[in-house]
Amino acid sequence: MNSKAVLNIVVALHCEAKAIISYFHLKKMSIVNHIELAFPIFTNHNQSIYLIISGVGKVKTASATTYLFMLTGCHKQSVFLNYGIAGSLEFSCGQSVLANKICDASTQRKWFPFVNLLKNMRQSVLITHDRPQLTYPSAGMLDMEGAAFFHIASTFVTSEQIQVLKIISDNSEQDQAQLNEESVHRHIINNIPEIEKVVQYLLNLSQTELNNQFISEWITEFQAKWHFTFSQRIQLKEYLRRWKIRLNYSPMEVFANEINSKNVIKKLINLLEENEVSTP
Amino acid sequence: MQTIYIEKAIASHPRTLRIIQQLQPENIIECDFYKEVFNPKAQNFRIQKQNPALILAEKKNNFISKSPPGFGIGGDVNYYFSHMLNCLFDCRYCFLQGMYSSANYVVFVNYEDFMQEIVLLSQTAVNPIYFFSGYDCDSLAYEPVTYFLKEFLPFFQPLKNAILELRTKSTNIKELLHVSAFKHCVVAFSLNPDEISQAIEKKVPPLAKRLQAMQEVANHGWPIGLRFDPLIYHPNFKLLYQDLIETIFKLISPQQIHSISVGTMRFPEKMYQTIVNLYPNDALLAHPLYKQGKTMAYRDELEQSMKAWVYELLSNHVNQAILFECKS
Repeated sequence: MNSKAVLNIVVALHCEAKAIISYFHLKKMSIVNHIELAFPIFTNHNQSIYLIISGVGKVKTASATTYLFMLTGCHKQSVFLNYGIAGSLEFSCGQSVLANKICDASTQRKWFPFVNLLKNMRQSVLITHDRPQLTYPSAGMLDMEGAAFFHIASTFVTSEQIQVLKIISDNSEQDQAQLNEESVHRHIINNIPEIEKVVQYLLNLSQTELNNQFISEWITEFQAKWHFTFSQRIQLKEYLRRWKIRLNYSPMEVFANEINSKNVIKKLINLLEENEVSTP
Repeated sequence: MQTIYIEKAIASHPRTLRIIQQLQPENIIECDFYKEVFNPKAQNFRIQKQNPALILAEKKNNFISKSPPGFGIGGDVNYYFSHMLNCLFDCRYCFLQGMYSSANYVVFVNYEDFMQEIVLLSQTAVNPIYFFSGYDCDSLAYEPVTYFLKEFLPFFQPLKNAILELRTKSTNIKELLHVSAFKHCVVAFSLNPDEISQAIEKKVPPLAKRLQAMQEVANHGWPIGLRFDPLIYHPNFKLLYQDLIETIFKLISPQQIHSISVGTMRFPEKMYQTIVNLYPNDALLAHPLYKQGKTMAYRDELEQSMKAWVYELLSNHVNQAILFECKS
């Protein structure tokens, strides 16, 4: 089990990523396990933040999200962020807005990110389209990635661990055709504090989730010493969980002389029953 | 309230409008059906419990359900209904945390549909029917927002054949003191000794305040229910429950009590595993529980001795006829 918070950031374009790569001092990874990477991927020195540049559109976003999750070890406590530019009539250009409802325009499928722990941030609906749109709805935001990102990420982790933050770049007054790499880069730079706020929130959440998990080091130690059947492994996990709460010291010394897994389980049960203690 | 989700169909329902006006949420998010928000599996109840959102919805069917066997307090026909899903409190033994994937509160605003079904059932019944309202939520805790009592007490008052049980750990008794009491509404207080309550019933008001609320409700004329369910094991179990029961009978007389029910801590097997996964480091869940059919419960001898002790204490004060065992 991973013991460190991991944030996976998925961004469509390099010009959207550049400011964040620089801000968090991310370095490009080129080869992992002798394999050349399929997407540009960046990480920081302690490998708590990974950023992948997916390319534009739902398929590329879904692929990159999956690729990054696999590459970073498929940790159930990892967290996901998609940020990037979006169009909107509801908000002014340059404003950042958290997606509290995400709709896939082509399938009409919807997702509801849990945004209730992120305070004082603008929120709205995000509609993800397959193609660039020339008109804007009166409310909400438009993009080409959010729905695919959330759809895929929520198959890996729970929805609380995923956020989508959009920076408004175009509307009826600011034509998207006039956008260029420099203007996009500037929008992102101006919103670094908001992006950082979500990054820190997600990293804290990831760390809290890790801390809440039963540490599996004892299980690993036990499994290295004895062979447990499938059902014994389930028992072992449950009894060691109780051991940790009630006795809170490493059990290995107590069991060191046991000759097989059956004896270990039996002794665990006996010792826990001897220590049947109060609840609160 | 930071966020309220609203089903499109009830966006302009008078109760929806009143609640929005009252809570002034920062964000209102529209949905087609509450289950879009509430039901997805990939949610973490524990994270959401830190700051749940409110979902306003319309219940479409199954307004009233038959109570599980072993849930009664003396009636032959028992039903429960839930104007709300989830609870403001955070009790570690509560089955709701294992039943729902979301900790958001759902409030169904179409009270009239519940009422219509209650009328139909009570009109056709020969014997009194019991309706339990505090199964999927606390009956009183969210009263300032739901107006559940405000609307359902006048509705139940003329239905002499329908006995309503309000079950609570709350001290929200203002509405109960505001109206005249009637005998076919039982206000049932779920109680555990203070030391146990403080450790495992998070966000619940202090026991002393709840006992004071119970006394006020009793003195106003409402029949009182005492619910010692679940009994929680503790090395000082006997002394703690003895103190609790003696304190209660210093505050109210046996004549003010409608019924008392007693049950030990137990979980449906599948929900237990879900709850353990949510709170693997919780001390309550470290106590060994054993499979009894489809339920995880204390060792049988321990269960029996706990119940026997509480029955013995209660028998000093009340008639056996009003004592009931919770088995569901």
